[in-house]
Amino acid sequence: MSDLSSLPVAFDWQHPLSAILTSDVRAVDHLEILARPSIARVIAAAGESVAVAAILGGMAGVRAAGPQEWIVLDDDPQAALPARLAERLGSLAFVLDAGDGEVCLRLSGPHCRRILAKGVGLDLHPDVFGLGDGGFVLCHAIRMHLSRTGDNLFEILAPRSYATSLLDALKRMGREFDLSVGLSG
Amino acid sequence: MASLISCPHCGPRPKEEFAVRGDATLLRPAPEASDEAWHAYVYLRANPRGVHVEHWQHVGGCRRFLVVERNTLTHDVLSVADAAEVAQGGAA
Amino acid sequence: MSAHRLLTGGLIDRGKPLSFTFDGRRHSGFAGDTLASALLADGVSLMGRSFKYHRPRGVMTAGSAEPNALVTVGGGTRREPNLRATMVELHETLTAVSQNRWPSLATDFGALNDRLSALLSAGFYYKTFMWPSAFWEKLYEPLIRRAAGLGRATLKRDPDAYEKAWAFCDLLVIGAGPAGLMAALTAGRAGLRVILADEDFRLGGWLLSETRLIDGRPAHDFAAILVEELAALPNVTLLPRSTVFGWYDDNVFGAVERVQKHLPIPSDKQPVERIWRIVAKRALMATGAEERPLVFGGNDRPGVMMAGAALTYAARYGVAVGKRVAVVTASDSGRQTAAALARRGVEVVALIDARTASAQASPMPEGARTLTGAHVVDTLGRLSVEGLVTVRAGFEERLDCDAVAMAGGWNPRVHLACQHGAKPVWSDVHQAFLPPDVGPDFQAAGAAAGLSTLAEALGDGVRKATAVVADLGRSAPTVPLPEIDAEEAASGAAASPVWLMPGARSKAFVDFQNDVHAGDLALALREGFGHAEHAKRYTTNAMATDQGKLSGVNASGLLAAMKGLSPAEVGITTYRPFYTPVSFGALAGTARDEEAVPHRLSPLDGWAKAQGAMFVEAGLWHRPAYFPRPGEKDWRASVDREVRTVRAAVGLCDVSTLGKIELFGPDAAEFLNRLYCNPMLRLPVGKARYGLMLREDGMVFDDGTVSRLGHQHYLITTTTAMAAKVMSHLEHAAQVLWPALQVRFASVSEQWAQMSLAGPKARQVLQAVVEDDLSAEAVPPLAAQAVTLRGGLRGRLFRISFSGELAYELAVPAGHGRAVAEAIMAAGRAHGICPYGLEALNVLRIEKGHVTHAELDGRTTPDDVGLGHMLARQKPDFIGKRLSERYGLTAADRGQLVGLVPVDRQRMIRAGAHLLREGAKPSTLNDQGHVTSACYSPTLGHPIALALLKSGRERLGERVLVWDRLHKEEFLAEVVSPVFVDPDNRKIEPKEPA
Repeated sequence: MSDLSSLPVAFDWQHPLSAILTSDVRAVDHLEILARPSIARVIAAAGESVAVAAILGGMAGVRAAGPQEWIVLDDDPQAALPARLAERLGSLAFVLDAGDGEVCLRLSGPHCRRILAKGVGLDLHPDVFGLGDGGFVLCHAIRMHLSRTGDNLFEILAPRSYATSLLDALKRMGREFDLSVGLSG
Repeated sequence: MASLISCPHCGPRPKEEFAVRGDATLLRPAPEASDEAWHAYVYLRANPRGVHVEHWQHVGGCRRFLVVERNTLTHDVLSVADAAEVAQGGAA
Repeated sequence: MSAHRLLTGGLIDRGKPLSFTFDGRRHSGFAGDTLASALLADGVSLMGRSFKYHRPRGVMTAGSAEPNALVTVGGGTRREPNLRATMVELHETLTAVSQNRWPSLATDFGALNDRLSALLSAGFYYKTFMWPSAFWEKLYEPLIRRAAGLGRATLKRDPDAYEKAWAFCDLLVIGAGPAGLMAALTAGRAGLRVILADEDFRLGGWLLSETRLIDGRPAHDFAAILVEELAALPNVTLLPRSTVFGWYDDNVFGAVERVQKHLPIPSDKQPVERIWRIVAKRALMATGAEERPLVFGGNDRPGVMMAGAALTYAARYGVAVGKRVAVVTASDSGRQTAAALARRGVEVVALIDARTASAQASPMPEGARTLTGAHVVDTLGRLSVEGLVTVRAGFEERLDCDAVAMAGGWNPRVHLACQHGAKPVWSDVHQAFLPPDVGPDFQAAGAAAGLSTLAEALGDGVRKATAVVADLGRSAPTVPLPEIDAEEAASGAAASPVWLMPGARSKAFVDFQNDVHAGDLALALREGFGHAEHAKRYTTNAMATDQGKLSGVNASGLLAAMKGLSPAEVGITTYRPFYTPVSFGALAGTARDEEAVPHRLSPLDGWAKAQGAMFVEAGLWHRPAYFPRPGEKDWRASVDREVRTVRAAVGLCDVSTLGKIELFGPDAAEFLNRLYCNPMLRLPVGKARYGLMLREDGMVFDDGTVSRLGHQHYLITTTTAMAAKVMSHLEHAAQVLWPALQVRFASVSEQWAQMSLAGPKARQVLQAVVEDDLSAEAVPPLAAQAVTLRGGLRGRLFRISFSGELAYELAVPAGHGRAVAEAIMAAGRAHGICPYGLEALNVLRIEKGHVTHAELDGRTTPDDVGLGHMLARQKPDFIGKRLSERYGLTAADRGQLVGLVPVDRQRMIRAGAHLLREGAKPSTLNDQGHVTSACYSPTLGHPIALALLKSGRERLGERVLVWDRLHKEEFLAEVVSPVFVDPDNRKIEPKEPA
């Protein structure tokens, strides 16, 4: 037990992309890596999806994630979404913390659709893929959640273990447009 | 095979997002069913020229199992439905 | 000015000269030239050698159908063979070399084949190389391989980038000629999302070669105005340098864009080529028509080319292909081309028309002789044409000329529309194969639809696009049609093609690249290969890199003529993607090298790297294999040390890659009970259990643990390799087999970092970071519970052992994983802790007789691997129950898991080796089983192995022969229990106080 005194009293939290090189200058097309959003996955209990949808309908940061499933996201790491949602939804749904398992990236700029077209087989024209639309897609063999959160703004949620590979792919896709990459916060 | 499959949950998607799981018309026999019934369920497969009904899972998207009715000759996809909804009586 | 460059005209920039080399000689051209036009301007007519006879060949076309002028461009890593000089855009410093010749293009020893051509007739491969059969491998194949192929590809690594992209549109217009431009404009003005793709670097198609005025201005200016308007429309995407090569299901088209192939040095910000997958609601095939060569004696001599190409060189590139041009035709179009050539300042010395005088009426250029009812029977000259021999009414005449332009009529480019199996349709009116009707989503327009005049093509583009606009529910604007000077007569009945000019005195070629001449087709027919598809294989007609763009229709016409049938009855061979060759680089896109597949990193990846791990690829994962220390001479030394440390003290291993699935709901227990072959209903909360999943056929599918975290809350683990398959298996069961069960689940593999802490000192070390009591009473074997770490971090703790030691698996939120692992290492330092990797993990489990997918290979039952007791036959149902009861799966002589120890303790056993009875003849007929896993056991001090041996459990103590034919090894081993270490499981809970 002699080593106990030298142990930390709290364990550091590390972003899977914390070691990447970020761009010096922010270009018009930019990929922002969220520092530590609060992320919850919500799965409606059998027969309760309408009730869950009604409750989530009034909340910000809710992304549809397939039948009877949602992802809820808040940029603030202190938001404690999983706990709050679990309390709010009670027996209507199962809530899982995904704050460590998913990375969140935001792609913005005039060429964002042309960049995404190099990996995503989905028509992202503004008339087709509307504001708030989203779902899971395959991008260079990585399954990720893509949603449109602004006119020229897309949000990507991807599994932590794939984060480095996905970031490499996105950088390649954006090279033609000098895409810059930065960590938020 | 079609280039695109229209997932009832996600819309038209490239076929690369899907994985085939075979004949969707086979029903798992009861545990006490005959040897022949089990043998047919596990091993016997038709290879139709024409309309074929299969399970496709949207592994790159919503991960739902879909019942895809397609024509192996013309490559037309005739219908796509959620497998659980089909299994529970087609309630959409 | 170069020898053949006209003084004025052409869409070249005479202010921008470019210098380049061909076969080492310096040449010059202008911006806007192709390699072919610049070489012709410099008087180079010999550009290649044919494939089989090595005959000298010149350029025949001005486009993508070119069969002859194949060159290798660039050097070093960017050397690219078999490019068509007609499609290579000229740039400064371009270097090109000719192919398929030795030592030089003018003097080629391979041309000996031409003298031997009597021996090399059609089908000679099949006849000559058949016998004796022993010659095939040693002589014929190497010989053929050396002779085959055209240019040589570089073996160096491609320095350039490629990519693929998706595009979506309402209307894809393929071809930016008269019909395509008008169609794109009509749809673009109506607001449709339009993509206009053309293989040329300049949009305009035939308008760039047209010599008449349109709306009072040159035709290329008219095209430029349309292109300018299209470029300004935000809903229109122009894709020049883009070949649409394939039409796939659901109106998805493949196109390759040559993004930077025309630049001396490509930028690294862009790919050199890009594959587009274009999803089009509607598409128009405005691909124009290919001129049909005439088949006459000596029609392959350099200087003989298509009449339309000669006009393109004159009008678009300002190049006269000869100073004395003879035009050979059998149609009005040849006469019109002759007139246009003259208008552009090219001297036409003669027009030889196979038809009689009554058939035509158009006026001829001054000074040109017109010979009607005449045939060409031969050409003169060696490396370039110097004259030709005609026969008219039995009267022979020699004509001097230095170029021959042949106009045999037009073949609509029907390729894309026929790629789904529909056959082109012969039209007696057009005397050509027209595109088949493949439905409203993909229609032909303009010359591709069989229209022959400019006015008709322009009008057809508007008409077809207007229909698409209306079909998609929009209203089309009125697009006025332009006025054309001296319009030609509208498409009427076309003249019958002359498939073969009679009386040929030398070979009359049909397929130029593969050297198929009319006599070869006649031979094929005589020998019973007269079907279009048979004749193609027998003669290799249309099998060259140009895929018969010039030769396919002529071959059908010839076969039809020889059989006395209509071409409609003979048909034409099948069209398949790709329209023109596509580079492997483009097809691979970004999927090459490390980027070929994504890789996955564990949350403890940074920790393992800091610990000096050597990594191994395991599926998509990069996992630590072992952790070498200074002074260790090889990997075995590191692994042995790691194993000893775990057995004697404590080790830490990253097991985050295991699949982890959480399940909820009132039916979760029932669901798991049906998925696993062992009982799951009465698993207490706070406990874990080993579980075995079967496939429906009774074989083991995967193994792992099931932990009950709450009343209706479970967590299961899967092996790393099967994580995705198990997830899919669960989804299948829940959605397809038993959708009524009230169970929900989700993968939580990514959320948790998980580490295994194993060894006699594990408890003391772990207690340093976990606040909860870890005593054997609080956390007994197979406990599964939530714990609090120092500082309040919440984790999950499982008392699970794969090594047979006192062991825990601790899961913490992934972001904290590295910090927790480092704290455990710090806490363990005084106890001699070390990190251990996959290799040590494997040795530890082999010593303990635990199975992995080396044993669970899809052919083993639970009983085979000694886990038959887990089968809960009393359960009413579980996946695999019914078929696991089959006789074949319960037979006594199945392979059963045993341990092996070599009799000579020095011999390493290899996985994969076969087992035979002692003294049996080494043969797979005597096979008794095989070695599944093998290692050196540092605990026992000698090699050990796990194996599946017939009736193995009854054979402990027996000696078997280990036979490895691959490594030429045979030695004896003793059959022992598969549990080599601590068979009584005393080490799981050590008795002595810590």
